[in-house]
Amino acid sequence: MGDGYAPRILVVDLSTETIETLDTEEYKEWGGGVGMGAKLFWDLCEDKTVGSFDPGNVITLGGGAFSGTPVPSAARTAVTGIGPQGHPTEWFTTSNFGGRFSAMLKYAGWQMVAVKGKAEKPVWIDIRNDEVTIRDASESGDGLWGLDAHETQRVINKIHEADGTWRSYGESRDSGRTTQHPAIVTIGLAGENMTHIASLTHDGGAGAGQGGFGGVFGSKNLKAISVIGTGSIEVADAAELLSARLWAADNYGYQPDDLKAFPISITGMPFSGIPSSGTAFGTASRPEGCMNCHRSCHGVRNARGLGNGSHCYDTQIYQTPEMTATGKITIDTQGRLADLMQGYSINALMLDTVGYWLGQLHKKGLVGPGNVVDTDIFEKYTFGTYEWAAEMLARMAEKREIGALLAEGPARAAEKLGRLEEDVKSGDLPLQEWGWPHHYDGRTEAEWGLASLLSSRDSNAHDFNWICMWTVTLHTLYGAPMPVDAAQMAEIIGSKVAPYNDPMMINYSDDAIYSESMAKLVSWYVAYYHYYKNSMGLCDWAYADFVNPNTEDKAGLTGIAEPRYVKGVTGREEPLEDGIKRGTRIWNLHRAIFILQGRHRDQEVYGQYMYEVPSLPVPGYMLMSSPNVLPVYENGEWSYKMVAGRVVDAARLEEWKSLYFEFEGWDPATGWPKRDTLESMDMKFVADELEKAGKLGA
Amino acid sequence: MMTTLTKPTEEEARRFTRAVDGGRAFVGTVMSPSAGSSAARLLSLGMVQQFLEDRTIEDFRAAGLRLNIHYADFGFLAQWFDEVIGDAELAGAISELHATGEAFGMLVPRVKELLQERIDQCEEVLEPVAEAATT
Repeated sequence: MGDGYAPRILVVDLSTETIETLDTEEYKEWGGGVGMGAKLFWDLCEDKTVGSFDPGNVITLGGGAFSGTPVPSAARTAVTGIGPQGHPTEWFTTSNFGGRFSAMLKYAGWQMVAVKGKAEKPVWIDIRNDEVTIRDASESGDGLWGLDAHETQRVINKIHEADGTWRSYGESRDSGRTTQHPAIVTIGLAGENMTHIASLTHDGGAGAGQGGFGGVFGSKNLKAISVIGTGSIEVADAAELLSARLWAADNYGYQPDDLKAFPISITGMPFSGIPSSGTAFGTASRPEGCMNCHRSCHGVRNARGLGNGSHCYDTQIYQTPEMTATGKITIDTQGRLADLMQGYSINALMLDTVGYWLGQLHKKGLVGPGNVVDTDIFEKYTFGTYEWAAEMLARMAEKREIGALLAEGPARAAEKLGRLEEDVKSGDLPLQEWGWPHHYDGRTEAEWGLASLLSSRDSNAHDFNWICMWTVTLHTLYGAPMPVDAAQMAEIIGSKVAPYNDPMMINYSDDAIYSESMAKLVSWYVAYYHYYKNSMGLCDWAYADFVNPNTEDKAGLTGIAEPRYVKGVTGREEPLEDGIKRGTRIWNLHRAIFILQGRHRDQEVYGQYMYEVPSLPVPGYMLMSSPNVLPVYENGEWSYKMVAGRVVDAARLEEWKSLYFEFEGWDPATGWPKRDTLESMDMKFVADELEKAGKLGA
Repeated sequence: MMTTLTKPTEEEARRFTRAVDGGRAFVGTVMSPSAGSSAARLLSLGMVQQFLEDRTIEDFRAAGLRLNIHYADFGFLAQWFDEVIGDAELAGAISELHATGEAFGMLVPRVKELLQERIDQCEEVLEPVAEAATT
């Protein structure tokens, strides 16, 4: 009987060109993904204070126990390591992407892959079941270096002669053959040139954007990792797992043969969501899914294949400039840019952020040849057109002209121009935390902002954002009846956030966002997404599923589904609260790594605009804001209320941080975990290391 | 469509339809379900009209709620038409709609209709002038 895990972990040292195998058994307690990745990083990275491009940095890729099994929507590959995007410190951070990589890795027999060192010349890693080869990627070898990310995959497929027919990868007729293409994660020029803004690209439309891990690949002279597996994954209880999948689909899922469910499907992102790709830009497209996913939210478009596979931010990065310049948004511009950006392997958020910032400075007369921002791009091209964006992407990937500066990321670029403080304060450069671009708004969606501030990146977990903000705001703006009223929502969510089970956790009132209930919410939220999603492998676009209007009690599958999946895959009886404990443990390990890198609570402050600029549109000036409506409990009753317009109160935030640190068992003076806390989670080894570094919480 | 706005003079038509510079733009919000919100700088009457999307909650439900919302605060929009564009009558008409307190999405088609009416009026006034200039 299996437990969902592949038996081995692959460790490749590019400096010595050696391949080492670790036993997955030693790491299973961390779930997989960012949990296992953090533990591997802890064990393999000798000096955790090195820079992201140092050969000593260790990067890990892989999924969790759920990956490659019939658990619905469990195809993410998590990436961990020190990322160059963080500012001022290049923090240990995480990223992830969908597609086929984590499953294929497991079918090849590997749970995770860790890469350390630096190759002398460009290489790629070719994994064919248990056969692992470090191959020459240079011109004299397989000729991959210099190719864009799409072309790289085409060449590797050709090397594999992957043309959809049967191929053999071993002796066994039954287990050594496949028709599949290898799963390839690779970089384009932005990665090769070691920019701070480079992503990892996989297939079409999948990529790990945030973190800058493309640059880490480049720093290691690593062009790609390709894996083909012809094996399978054994689970503990296949009958229970299939039963759980069917139960989820029957009771909570979108029913393609019952279109009555279509127009009343409210919760688009959680489990019951429908394939969404068909609607982008009004162009027809065929739904396409990640491996084993029931949702198929990616799309293969019939608009000349533009933006194929893309469905998310990659096709939205340049919508507002195009709208401003031309009055419309087109697949021709957005799809082409998505393809170009993925080809270069550039983080989608960067073009958006840089475009907005330079646009603001341009209006102030600070951009032009010989000016503060020395560039001719606004003279030669019109902002908002495809040509401007394509040229900007090229300059950043090639580190040419203004692109050389912007390739360091917007925070470092602004710092070099002497504009960081002023532009973040004004909101012209909205970097919410750690130099990362503003994504969702911590002034209104408190748990999103706080979790981001206390980690090393935007939390990018839509668990509460989707149902509490997006669904509610949308229904408010369109005058539609809510799927559930605010009191029902609090009751339902309160029943699903074990062990706290406190409905007040989703109270987003001006006072409550600084309360203990918010500490509980942040704690639960961080633990949930660190374990079930980023470690075990569930997709953020399907979980958590709190509210489902199609069920009798309006409750979604979260709380019931996760333990069933764990039971079916691993055989473990693990109620949700135990899963949350595992998540908290992973969160503490991440926290310990930050601390070894130099983290202290005093550094955990937002970009200045968050304290000064209200999160509300005003004419002629607006800062990445929207009329967010969220549940609040005020004067003894629940309601939905527009909370936009507020700023973060710096003094209350500091008080809240102390409260939260106490809640987590960390030292409120520093934000460092205490020995008791760590030892209660069987992490004496972490406490010892922190103590050795003089950074154990008192 | 019933005309509710006074037909502009040639001078007014030019003023109402001009594009202002970026510093005086009306800022709409593109709200994305995956990407957060971003600013859309709208420079003219025509751009505002195009920016606003006439969608219903059913459109969003059919897409699993995963469509962008092109949001504009109609109170601020009215102010912009008054103070920046100089079209007090259109501003007043939008203000009136805004004052009903109806939901944003319910007002969008009516605001769009008003904007389109003003665009049509301006084109009607300016077309003969443009024709005369070319002959």
